[in-house]
Amino acid sequence: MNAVCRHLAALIGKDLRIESRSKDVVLTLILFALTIVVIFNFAFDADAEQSRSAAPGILWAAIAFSSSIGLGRAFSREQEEGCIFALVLSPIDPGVLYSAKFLGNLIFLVFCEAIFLPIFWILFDLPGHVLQPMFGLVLLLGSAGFAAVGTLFSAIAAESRARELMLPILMLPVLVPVILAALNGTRVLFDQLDRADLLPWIKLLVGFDLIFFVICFLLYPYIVGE
Amino acid sequence: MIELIQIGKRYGWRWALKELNLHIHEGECTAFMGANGAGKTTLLKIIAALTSPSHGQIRIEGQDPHQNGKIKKRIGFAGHQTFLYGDLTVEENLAFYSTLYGIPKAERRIEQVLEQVGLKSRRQERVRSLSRGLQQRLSLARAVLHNPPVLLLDEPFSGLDLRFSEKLKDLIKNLNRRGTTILLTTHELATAKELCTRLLLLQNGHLQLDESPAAFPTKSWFALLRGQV
Repeated sequence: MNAVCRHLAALIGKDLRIESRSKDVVLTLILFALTIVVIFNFAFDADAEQSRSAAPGILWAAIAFSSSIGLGRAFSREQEEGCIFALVLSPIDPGVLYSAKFLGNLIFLVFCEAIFLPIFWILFDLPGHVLQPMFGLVLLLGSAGFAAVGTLFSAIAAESRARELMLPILMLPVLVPVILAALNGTRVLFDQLDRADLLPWIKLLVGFDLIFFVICFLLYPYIVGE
Repeated sequence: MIELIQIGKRYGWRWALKELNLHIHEGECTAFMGANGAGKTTLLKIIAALTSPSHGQIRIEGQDPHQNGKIKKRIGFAGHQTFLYGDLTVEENLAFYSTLYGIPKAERRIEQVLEQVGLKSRRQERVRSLSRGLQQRLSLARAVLHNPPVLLLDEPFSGLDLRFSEKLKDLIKNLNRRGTTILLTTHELATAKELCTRLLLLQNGHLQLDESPAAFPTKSWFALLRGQV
């Protein structure tokens, strides 16, 4: 257990340190998400009602597309100079490697959302009530789904020639349930509907996250092993 | 120590290694020689459990490194790629690998290996800012950091200047004297004869020769290099 925690801390710490210097994942995520939001903001009238009804879809489209690009970059640094081979050769458990990459990606996503959301909130002229703890929970669960699937698929896509193209193609179809659940959960909160309507979407997000974390955790050794 | 039984490796339709049988004893320094594409790197990668053989078995200290992850801790590998993170400093890279290998008194060990490869004064520099030769040296430091009983070196002299090549030879001799089993690939026959107790010649995935340095036929080697074999 001690070794597992030590390895987890070392791997996550390494990723955060590299990112704090290169900033390539965070910048990719934020800039891509902002571009999508700004384009949609110009596409809709400034009418508050119309903006609010479209906002959940635009928000999750921005997160989905930016993460499908940013998460690929997060894995590709392991491929430069063959560092992934050193990790495979080291005594760390491949499951620990997956968990560390998953947590690192989740931290990147949440960090970027924390920067991007206030801008999104201002651009779409959203009311104050949307920024509530339950919205934070929906964002966290949705992001965990993206990170769980993205961590595995970025390792698969990295092996192909068209890696940047491959990741969205592989990842987004699998993420359809997460996108739908997160989008509908966000709509319930933005439209101030009955809280009971939120529960099925939260359950779906939790279920998806758990199932895909376990599946990806079990498959990861076969993907990075060769 | 290391046993290869009927090892074969296929990439698509091409066999990189064919039915290779080999027994390497503890403390031996063995050179794998051969032209480009002979299967030297593939063989080292199979021994390091970085790639699986298409058939056959490998045993290190009686255990299959592909099945038993713990045996990997006893292997050090330095290959064509440095396995280093460009955005981390020299010291941070070694500290990271020390944590993965659970090296006690890591700071002292890092100091030691940096001294050995002559990078002590550059410990705070980012790897990306180092020349290729210096990165190669750091890669060697990383490979020996955890004092592995089995050291695999894939063309360790490529990209190194003459002075450090001599230093590396001394390092390899010292490690071998202390009991480390060393397997290296090289194109330099003189270096292989100087360092190793056993020379193996690979050709098209087959083991052609297995000789001591004194018995290794120099003529065959040069004929092979000229493509006459």
